Amino acid sequence: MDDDITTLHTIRPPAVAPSADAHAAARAALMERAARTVSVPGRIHRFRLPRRGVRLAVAGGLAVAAAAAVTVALSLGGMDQNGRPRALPPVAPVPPGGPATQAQTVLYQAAGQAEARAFTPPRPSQWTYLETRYTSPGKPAIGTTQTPKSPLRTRVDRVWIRVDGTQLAEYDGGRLTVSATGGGMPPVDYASVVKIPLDPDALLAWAKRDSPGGKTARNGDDIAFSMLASLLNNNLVPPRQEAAVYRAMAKIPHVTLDRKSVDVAGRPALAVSRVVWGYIREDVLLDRTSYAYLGDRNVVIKDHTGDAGTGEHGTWTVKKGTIDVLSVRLAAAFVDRPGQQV
Amino acid sequence: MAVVNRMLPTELSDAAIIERSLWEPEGFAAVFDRHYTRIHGFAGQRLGPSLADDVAAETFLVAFDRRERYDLSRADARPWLYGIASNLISRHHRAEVRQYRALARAGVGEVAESHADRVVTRLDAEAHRGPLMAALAEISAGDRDVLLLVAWAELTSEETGEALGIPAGTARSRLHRARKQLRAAMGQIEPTAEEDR
Repeated sequence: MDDDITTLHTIRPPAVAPSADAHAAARAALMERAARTVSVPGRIHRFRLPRRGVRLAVAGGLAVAAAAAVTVALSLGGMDQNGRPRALPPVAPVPPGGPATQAQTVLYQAAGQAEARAFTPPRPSQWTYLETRYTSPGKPAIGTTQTPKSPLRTRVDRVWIRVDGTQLAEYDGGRLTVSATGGGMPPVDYASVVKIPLDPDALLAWAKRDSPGGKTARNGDDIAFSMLASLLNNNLVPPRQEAAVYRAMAKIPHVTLDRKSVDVAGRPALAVSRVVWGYIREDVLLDRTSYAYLGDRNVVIKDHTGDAGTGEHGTWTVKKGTIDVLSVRLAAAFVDRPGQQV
Repeated sequence: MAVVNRMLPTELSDAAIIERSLWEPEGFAAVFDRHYTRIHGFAGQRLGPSLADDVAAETFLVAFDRRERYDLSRADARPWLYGIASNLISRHHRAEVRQYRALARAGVGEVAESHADRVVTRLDAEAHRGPLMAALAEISAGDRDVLLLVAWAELTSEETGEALGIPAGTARSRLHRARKQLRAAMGQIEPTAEEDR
């Protein structure tokens, strides 16, 4: 660019980021206007969405480049099977009772980004492939204490789940073993994930209602947040559902934001977090600019002694600062057969 | 030069989102989520932070109301949004001029820290801050709209014409005129009528 323009560009005043309050108020004003607007159904036929083929490179973490190797034929996904435009999911306005927190603002932006991502549903015969690296000191044994200095074990988990939810495949001692998925919560198959409610309130209710013990009001929010975080961690969530998850998270109280949390597999991450079960902070890790899902981290924020889950007498202790588990998404893609990597 | 944020090829275009919002009004939120921060930033550079809040919020309300008239052949909505913002900024003409005069008086380096990665360019450019900001206060409003869409919003002159609803040729000649004043302020050519000295 020419010198005078470049100079003017260089000395421009810094672009100050809007405050969370201003951001929330502006968004709320827009959503209020949108909510009062009635769309005219007759208009629909006058517009046609462009039909373009787009290729998918969906995956967090290291696998972005790798995932592009196996691609799924994609269109913009704007039509349903009958050629009618698909409805966008409802957008959560700022909850009543105050301006949005920074975490809510980021969650709304993440929802916007997710929704804007191109996506074509997989064929029923395809498999969802997820490659995840878990780093953890392991389950604490009775009589032991874990600290931030406890040795960590790292394991790369590779799993294929048939899109229709009927089968799951894993390597077991070098052999690919296919078994039944067996249901469970959160669902781990595309057919079930695509059916989760798109309305944030309904999704929250679903996350509480369908979870073990989720009906008790006392820790319903813990369950909802953990369940939604786990849903993200265990699935290649389609854009509309992913957006719904972020909007539902934005409705859970005491969700916080850490803008410079960690580098996950070499990518700077931000963390959207909530303290669950009284002693663990669950971090949902997203890319700082694209908001792509990167992984999940559980950090012990308070010394805790427990006995649950061992089936034995006695207790174990985890010390503040221990990273209970860090899970990093290495690849996520739809593939044609189990065992196929990206 | 700063990196221009272009859409990734895998993202839905703004046009597709705006088109869908015709029958799903709330889907327009995706346009907001994508562009609010940069529109706010641009308004803030021209008017300061408090008016920026108003202008940025209003930009998206106006855009929403006009979404039926959006030219769907334009995949990227930034020129359209910057154009709406420019029109709203022009309502605050006096505040804008005051802002540039204040910046012209501001000491060298006062706002430099946020761009530490371009130190050398800056040191050079900083020397011109006062005269350039003073020139911005003097340039006619229409010329300034074009100049700042190019220099600060990083639009091309074609996109600038699109944004302001003027032919690209008009945008170019306005840009040319504005740049003559800039260069005069920087002492690169014979100063013309520079009443500010």
